[in-house]
Amino acid sequence: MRIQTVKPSDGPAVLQLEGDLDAASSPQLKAGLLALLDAADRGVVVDLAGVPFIDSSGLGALVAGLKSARQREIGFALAGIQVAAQAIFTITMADHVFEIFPTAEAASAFLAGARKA
Amino acid sequence: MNATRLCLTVEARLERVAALRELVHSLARASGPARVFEAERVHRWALAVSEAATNAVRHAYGGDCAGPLTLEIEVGAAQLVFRLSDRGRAAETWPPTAPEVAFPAEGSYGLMIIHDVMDDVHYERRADGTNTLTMVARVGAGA
Repeated sequence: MRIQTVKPSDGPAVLQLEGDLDAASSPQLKAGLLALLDAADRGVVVDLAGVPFIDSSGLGALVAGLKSARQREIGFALAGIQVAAQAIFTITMADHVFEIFPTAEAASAFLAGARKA
Repeated sequence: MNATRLCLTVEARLERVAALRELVHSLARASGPARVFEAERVHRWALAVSEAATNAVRHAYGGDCAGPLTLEIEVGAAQLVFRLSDRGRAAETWPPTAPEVAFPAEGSYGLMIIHDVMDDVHYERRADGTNTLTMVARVGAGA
């Protein structure tokens, strides 16, 4: 899995992922996510537009990120979930727990707005 | 219609589970133009197989190793049968107690997902030391 971080000066950090998010790659995501949350006071968006598959291990890494963000009172959102990767969210009802947006831009705008409110 | 049978054996390593998912996705190609499965269902079958294979690596083998992990898919007129076999430790209990997973939890969703996706799931430990998890998805009219 390839992970790239974009940190704009005036908005949430965006973690762009590429490749399957499964038991083999989820430790890499979890470590990257928790490290980013340590330094991201404007919130974090996980851009999943490049992820064709997510299993429960991948979901677990995203949940770890969500929990860490809540503890730090930082905004956390998911974006761009592909149709092929949606099943894990509907089966576990995780789609009712995460803030989910069609694009990273929409997620960033939401988190920026929530921070100002 | 004769059943189509696909089979792949990989080493029991988490990084090889993707190859078993790809075998599920190859169903449509192997089954021919007369059998076009809805893409969403194929994605869900791949998810269930991935969860089962990950469980086998982690729990039957206790982590990545060179042991065999075999997926056999039998495509029939009314059902698909996915058989995942390993030669690791036997499952301690079957059927397992359904875990009460309070979201947001970071794990333990695997069996819940397999049971949600598949119509029938059962486990067998053979005398020769093989564990086989059989997962059945009905695909006939009304499925």
